[in-house]
Amino acid sequence: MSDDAHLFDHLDDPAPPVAPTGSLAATMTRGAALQRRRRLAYAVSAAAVLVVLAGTSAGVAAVLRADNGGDPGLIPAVPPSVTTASPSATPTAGNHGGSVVGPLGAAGQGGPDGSGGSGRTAGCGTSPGVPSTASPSPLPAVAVSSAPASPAPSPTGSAPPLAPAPPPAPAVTSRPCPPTSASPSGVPSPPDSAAPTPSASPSPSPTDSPALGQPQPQPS
Amino acid sequence: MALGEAAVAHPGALPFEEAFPRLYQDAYRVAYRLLGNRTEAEDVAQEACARAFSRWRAVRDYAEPWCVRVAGNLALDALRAKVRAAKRQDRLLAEPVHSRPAEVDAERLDLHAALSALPRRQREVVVLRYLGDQSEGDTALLLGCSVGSVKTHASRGLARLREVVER
Repeated sequence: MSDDAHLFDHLDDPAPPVAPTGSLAATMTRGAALQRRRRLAYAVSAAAVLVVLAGTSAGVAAVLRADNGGDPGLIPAVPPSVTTASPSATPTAGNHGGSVVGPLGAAGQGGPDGSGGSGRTAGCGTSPGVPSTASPSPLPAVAVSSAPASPAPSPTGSAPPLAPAPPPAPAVTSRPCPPTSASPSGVPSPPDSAAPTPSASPSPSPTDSPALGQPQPQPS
Repeated sequence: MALGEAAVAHPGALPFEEAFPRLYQDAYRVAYRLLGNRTEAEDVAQEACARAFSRWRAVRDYAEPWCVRVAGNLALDALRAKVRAAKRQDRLLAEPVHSRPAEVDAERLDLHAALSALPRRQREVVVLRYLGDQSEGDTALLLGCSVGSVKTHASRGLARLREVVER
């Protein structure tokens, strides 16, 4: 190892100079200049980074403002109802639910979620604001139906065209839809199937829902 | 660690004015071993000391090996620039006379070529250990590795250096 330590000794200067007296001041001056230059470079790069960040954030803000600039007060559309009619739902039933509900549920629209209007979902005959869900109800329609001898107007539970609108009742909002068109079994319940058409009997009862006796809210 | 103890253990812990002669001497030795030119070695030593002063607070604990390393790198850069300039001059001439700078002897050029062929870590260890005469502990402190790693790099680098030089 000692040979390795002196491996390059023959390359040494035979008379190495000592540090000159004036070289310390020159070295410190040069070092101070290097330090200033490095700090200046840091400051410049930091300023550049800040400018780039500010420009980027301003651009992003402008883009976001442009996206929302059309109508800031516009409420985004309500997503379509998650409920869809079962395969057993007949288009006529859906059309009935949407078209006949006129006085109650702003015909053609059914509820705020558009159920009943398109014919794809079962119209509940409810007024706007009533979340119509076509979820299958465990209760058969006939079990709770308090309708008189007149047959149920429609499998969809829609009201007759000239049915008077009962006074509004907030309790209806949580009422489930009649299981007529969204029946999971695909087999309509006996009273529904027995009901010929809504026009068969102008029953004042608007719906065949379990909450038949409850008043329906007025469409605003 | 007490201040006096640190000053004894590491000359770099001294103020720069007091550490300057030692730093200059070490940097000059490395530069002259690589360049073989007194004027250029002095320039390199002074530049290395100036760089050490510009960041003295950061390097004061290991200023001596740091300065040796910087001087070695500067000397290798200067040597490389010389070789490149000589090659460029040969290309400009109609008949190449020689492809190496006249003022650098062949051994130093071989040393430069051998060092350039080494991996970076091995080159740093060889320069610090054998050209800068730094201890294994100081080399490990500067490079941020263990003493065993320094020994490994030194032996491997030296073996390859000998192969290139003896070839």
